[in-house]
Amino acid sequence: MKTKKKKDTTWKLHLRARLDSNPINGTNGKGGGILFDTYTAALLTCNPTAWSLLKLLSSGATLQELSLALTNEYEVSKKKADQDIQNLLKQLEYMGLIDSAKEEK
Amino acid sequence: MQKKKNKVRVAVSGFSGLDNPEPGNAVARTLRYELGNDIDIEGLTYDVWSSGAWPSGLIDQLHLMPPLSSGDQATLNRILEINTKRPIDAIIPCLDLEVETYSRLSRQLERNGIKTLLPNQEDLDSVKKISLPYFCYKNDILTPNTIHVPDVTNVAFYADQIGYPLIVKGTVADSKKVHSRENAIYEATRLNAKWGGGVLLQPFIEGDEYVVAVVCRHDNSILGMTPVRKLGINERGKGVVGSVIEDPQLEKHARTIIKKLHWRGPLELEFIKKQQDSGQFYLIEINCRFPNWIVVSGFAGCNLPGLLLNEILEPRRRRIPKPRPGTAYVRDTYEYSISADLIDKFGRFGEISAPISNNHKKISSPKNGYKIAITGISSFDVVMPGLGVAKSLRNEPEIEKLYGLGYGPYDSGAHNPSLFDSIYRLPDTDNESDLINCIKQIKDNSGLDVLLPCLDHEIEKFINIEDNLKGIGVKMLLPTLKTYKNRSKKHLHNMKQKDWSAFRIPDSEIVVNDKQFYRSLKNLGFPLVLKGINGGSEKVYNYQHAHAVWLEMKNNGHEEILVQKFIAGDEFTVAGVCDYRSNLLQAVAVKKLVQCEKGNTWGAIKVSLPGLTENLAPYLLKLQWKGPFELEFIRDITKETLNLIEINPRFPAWIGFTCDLGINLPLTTILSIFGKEISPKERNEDLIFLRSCYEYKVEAERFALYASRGILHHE
Repeated sequence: MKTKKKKDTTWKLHLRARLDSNPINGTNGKGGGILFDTYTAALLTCNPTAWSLLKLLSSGATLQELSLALTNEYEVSKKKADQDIQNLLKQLEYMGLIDSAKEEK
Repeated sequence: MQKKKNKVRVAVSGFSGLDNPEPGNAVARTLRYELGNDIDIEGLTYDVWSSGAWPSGLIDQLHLMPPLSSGDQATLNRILEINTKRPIDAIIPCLDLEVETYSRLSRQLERNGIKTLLPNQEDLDSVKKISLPYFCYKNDILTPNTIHVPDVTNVAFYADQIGYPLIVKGTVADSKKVHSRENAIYEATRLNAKWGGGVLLQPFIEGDEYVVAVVCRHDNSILGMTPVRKLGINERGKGVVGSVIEDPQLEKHARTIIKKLHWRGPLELEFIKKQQDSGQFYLIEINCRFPNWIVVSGFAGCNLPGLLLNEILEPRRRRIPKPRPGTAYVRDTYEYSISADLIDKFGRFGEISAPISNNHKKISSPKNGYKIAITGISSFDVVMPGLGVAKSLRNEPEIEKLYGLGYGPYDSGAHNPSLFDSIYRLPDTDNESDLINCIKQIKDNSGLDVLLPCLDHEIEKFINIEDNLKGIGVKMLLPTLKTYKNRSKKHLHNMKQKDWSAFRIPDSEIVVNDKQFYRSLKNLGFPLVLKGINGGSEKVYNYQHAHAVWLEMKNNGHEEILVQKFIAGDEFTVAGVCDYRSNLLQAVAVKKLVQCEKGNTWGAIKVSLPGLTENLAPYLLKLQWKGPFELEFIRDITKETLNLIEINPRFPAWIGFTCDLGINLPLTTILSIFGKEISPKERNEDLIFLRSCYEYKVEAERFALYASRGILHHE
């Protein structure tokens, strides 16, 4: 089967990644949050930009959706947003925290 | 005494170990966590100083046991004797060496109504450290190559073959990572002397440490499992911070191993996940009892000691909850005082009801009291004095807020909600303006009146910024830089006047190279104490031992080493505080009764040394000391003279004891800073200070919060 372009691929955070929107300080995630890897107990403190992306990734999102969300929410060019998204996905993939791209049917 | 109806009574052992606690305290706490007062817990100890058994509310009755070396019959007789007075339903042995004994005795115990759930001898033999490599080989389980060296004189030969660094292990417990041949010989000799049977050598595997606690049913199936990743490992290699995880690969691996074991009862599997080679799990060790971090299984909702007890008493299929990943523990300490009479009675009668005390009771804070910040709030490697200072001030009506000043997310005191209102992270830098800015920020945001630095290495830094802090309204009580330097080990060594009226300063030599070192050994003879100028000391008995320690100290960056005659005798320490005019305000002398491997005091009693305390005031005045101090002495067993070993420029870690005695030295310091009178309090002289370990529940996310924001608040 011919695979679609990467931008149409849905990326989803693995179940092992647990997001904690920092309820302790009552910021409701507006100031970022913490990602906990349930397999290794690794903790990642996330800034607001990464946090917005992780929340979308927890239910699954394409590159296009991620890019749109980021450019809508922040004053950032599409090029820079795409670059940041690629970097985050790369990091998550390296840590095994994102499922291999699920191809859209 | 008749057993109360419907109340289960379980005997638990393993309450010693001090800073490397035996698991009994954690097992008893975890049982209490689930069952509260619906259970009677009988504590079985081998000596009266088992500090894990005395904390109030943990154990109902303590019983002295004969040493295991007395034989199975002696253990059985003692248990049956206890059973006639306080009928026991079940026993959970928590020491490696005990498990075999109780396993052999299990049928006789059961005939007397006492149940156990333990593996048989054959299964126990297969997991012993010496036989584990064969077990792994036979069952295709990854484990590091292991060489058993029965005769430690051959250690150098085998260690060189493996290469460095490597791990030297005792045949029963304990292990040490070593970096050189000398180091390997030294550790092997030490471990062999402690456990016998030679040592085991293993190559060091770089990776993260994982541990899994398991309880197996009567039919060898798994009843419950709690996997944990060690997040914080201290200098001794002990995991003092850990978080529950949920890794299917690790769980599958653990299940495969357990299937091969035919196990019954509790056990702990230890793994290293190799950083290279796609992160495979290497089985390092199997322990035939609960680990000392087991309380986290209760925190995470899968209470393994509780499950074990249910399985022992009513074996049946149960639905077992999975432990919640992200639930973590941090090991801190719990300090308390008990009547000296209780210890005496326990020693003489062999059993006693556990004490009831009100330590760590939090009271509401006043609104217009002082706001105090304290450094040195961790027990990660050694117990720092800030914890005791906080304990002393916590319930005083003059104090409104207590802030802990730490350096990292695993500072244990930062997670103890009963000690501090808030925790702030200090910059770990020598840059004074960063430190001043950080303190100014705390002052601006939360208010701050006094700062009490409690760590040796910080004092000089704080002396340098004392005026700056005074300028922003934060007071301290510290000596001048000159006085501070005059109390150093090197200065004591150089002092011309060695004999004072109440004490003397022992002979010593400072060495910087091999030639001087070996000359010193000749001059002073054995045994000796080798001390780093900035901390660390070791007693050595002969040339070989001294050589190994000398090399290790040099490897650890010690440029100058103080070689001092070892003085055999009781150890005393005097804590006190001098005011701005160097007048001694108050002092308390204690005799050290229990010390951990690092030489820190885990048990002490107040003593009266009138000759010494009377002479201290002029000595401190001459030294022009200001603020808190600790003087350490050894009373020569033959000459009966007191020898001044060290002057520490801060309170000792046991300072919380002074609060229990009614001579609250940290409070005296605060009041003296504000020129206030110290009102006399009711003295309680007949007390013994004890310390045990205590694990706090933490949600792992709080580590990240503290690391990233540098602030933690306790509700």
